[in-house]
Amino acid sequence: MLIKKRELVLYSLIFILIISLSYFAPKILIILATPSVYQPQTFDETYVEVSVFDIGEKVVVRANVSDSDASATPLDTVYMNITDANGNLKVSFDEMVDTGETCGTDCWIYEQNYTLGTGTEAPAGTWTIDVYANDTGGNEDTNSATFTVNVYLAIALSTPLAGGIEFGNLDPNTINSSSLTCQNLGCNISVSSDSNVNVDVVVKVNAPLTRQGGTETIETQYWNSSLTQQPSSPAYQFQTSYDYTHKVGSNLEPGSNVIFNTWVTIPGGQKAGVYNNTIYFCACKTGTSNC
Amino acid sequence: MRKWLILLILLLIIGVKTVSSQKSEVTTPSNATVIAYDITIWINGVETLTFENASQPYNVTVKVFNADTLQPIKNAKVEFNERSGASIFTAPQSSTTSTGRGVVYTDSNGFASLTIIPTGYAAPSDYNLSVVVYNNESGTEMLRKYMNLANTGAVEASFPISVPNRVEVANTLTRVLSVWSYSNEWVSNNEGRRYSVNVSNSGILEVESDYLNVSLPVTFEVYAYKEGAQEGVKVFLEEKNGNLIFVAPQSGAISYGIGNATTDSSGWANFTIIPTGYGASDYNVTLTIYDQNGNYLNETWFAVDTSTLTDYFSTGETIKNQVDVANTLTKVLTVWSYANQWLGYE
Repeated sequence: MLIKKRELVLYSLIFILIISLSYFAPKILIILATPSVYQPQTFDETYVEVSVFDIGEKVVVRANVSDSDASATPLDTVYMNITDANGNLKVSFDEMVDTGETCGTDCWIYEQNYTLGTGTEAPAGTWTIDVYANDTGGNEDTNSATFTVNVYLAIALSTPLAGGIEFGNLDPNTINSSSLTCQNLGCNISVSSDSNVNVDVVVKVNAPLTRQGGTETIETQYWNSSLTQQPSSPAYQFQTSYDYTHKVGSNLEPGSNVIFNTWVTIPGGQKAGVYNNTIYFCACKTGTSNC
Repeated sequence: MRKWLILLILLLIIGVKTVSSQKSEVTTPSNATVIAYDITIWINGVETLTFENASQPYNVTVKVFNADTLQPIKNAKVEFNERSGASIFTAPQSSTTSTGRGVVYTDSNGFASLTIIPTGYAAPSDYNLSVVVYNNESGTEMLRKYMNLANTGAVEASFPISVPNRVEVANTLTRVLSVWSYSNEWVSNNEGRRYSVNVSNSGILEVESDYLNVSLPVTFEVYAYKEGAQEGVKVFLEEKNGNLIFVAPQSGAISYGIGNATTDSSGWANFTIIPTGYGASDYNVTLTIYDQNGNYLNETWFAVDTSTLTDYFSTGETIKNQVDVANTLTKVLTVWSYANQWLGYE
């Protein structure tokens, strides 16, 4: 029983030691004899350490570099490469600057920053930072880290479309009457060139066309879209949830646009009045269904 | 503890930010204004859809208006239809529907008036009256209502009537009697002409003759084919501004006599018509063919000498549905006599 108590105390001490090491280890720098690059860190422009960035944001990269033999073969240069989520080299051997701050004996903090672009210049996903250091003796070391660029996407409606779709005055028994607004390429949905992913655009209505001041509805509202020309005939009936089977646009690149139109059929005997509803367009990253 | 709480909040913020940038949603309203028509009909000044007696001329006024705003609708096309009435042009007969039709257009205040004489004397069971309103620009049917004839018996004139276009209606009745007397002799002798009509579903239309004589009965023997007999092909024969009792051609109103037949399982449709356009103006007779789905196939017009009634002579060609046609002519004469009496009562 006594032995067990001793073992218990021993295990507890070992456990506490492990926990303590796990906390303090990153802060303990073991100075090596040759240039040694420690894992780079990323900060926002206020020097808060972060690893996720939005388009257009400044990425501050810092790396601790040590050289225990600095008096004989001092550090020569510290470089940085940044590779985007698509594997394209965005920064090539950009020299990092000694901040003048130290990270221990013979250890210095180097820094460089990179401002993310927008659109295809800053594709969403995981980016890689590679930091290289060499000394005057020809010794070198490298280390790398990653950061994430958030998905950014946006769509906009053409001015006529944003102003509302008008069908005008229609008679009962009118079959597939095209909207007045969307004739002659009037209705476009454009993908912002700032978007950094290709997008799918889907559509829905909040409800069928419903008579103002009443409950009568018109269910027979249809839409169609085209990348190249004015849609000439209705293809799909509006639904009240986003239709991922029939998309307004698929895999649309940033800066592209899609042409939209809508039609309505007025059944015979439809009660007179003004009918309205709201059409929703939603863009999400191609292949997802986040709307 | 506080450190973990701050971390948790930061993670939540990052999480929300990440999700919110995964989609972009925009909206726009869509609006459609439905114009529905409504009508009010006055018969002899009383708002009603019911005619009292067969053979009596009635002053009919219709107002067409927007059912939502109640604003009058001008230039609306209004059809008054009488099915299986007493019509010389197309007697109700086997497999053939007979329709008399009067068409008027509303004025700037949404009104139109005309004289209507229901001819449903001793009418068959499928007799009915209807009014149909169209948007004249789009051709869309906007409204259809059925009207009624309370008494299918005829009532002698007992009070003076005031009807629109009285002189024109009376003149038409005079010509009706002339046409009747000539055509009745043809029908009584069960003779006339037979025209064969061949029609293919691809629209080829061959008619034996393109000439018709006023008061001379013609039996059209229509055969529809396309790789064999075609059932369900629709044959539509229309006489415009003939001498029709139901709606006589009159100022502001166009008159139509219409026969509508459908080919049977052997591809045939046989029916007899009698052109009535004696003394008529803006008169024509057209034959139009539609396929089983109602799609237009072809049409042809017939030349008719409207200045001459055709005396009976033996053609050696019997007419089909002679009994139906003869019975209708008998009704026409009865209706005519009562209607003429009412019109003469001033």
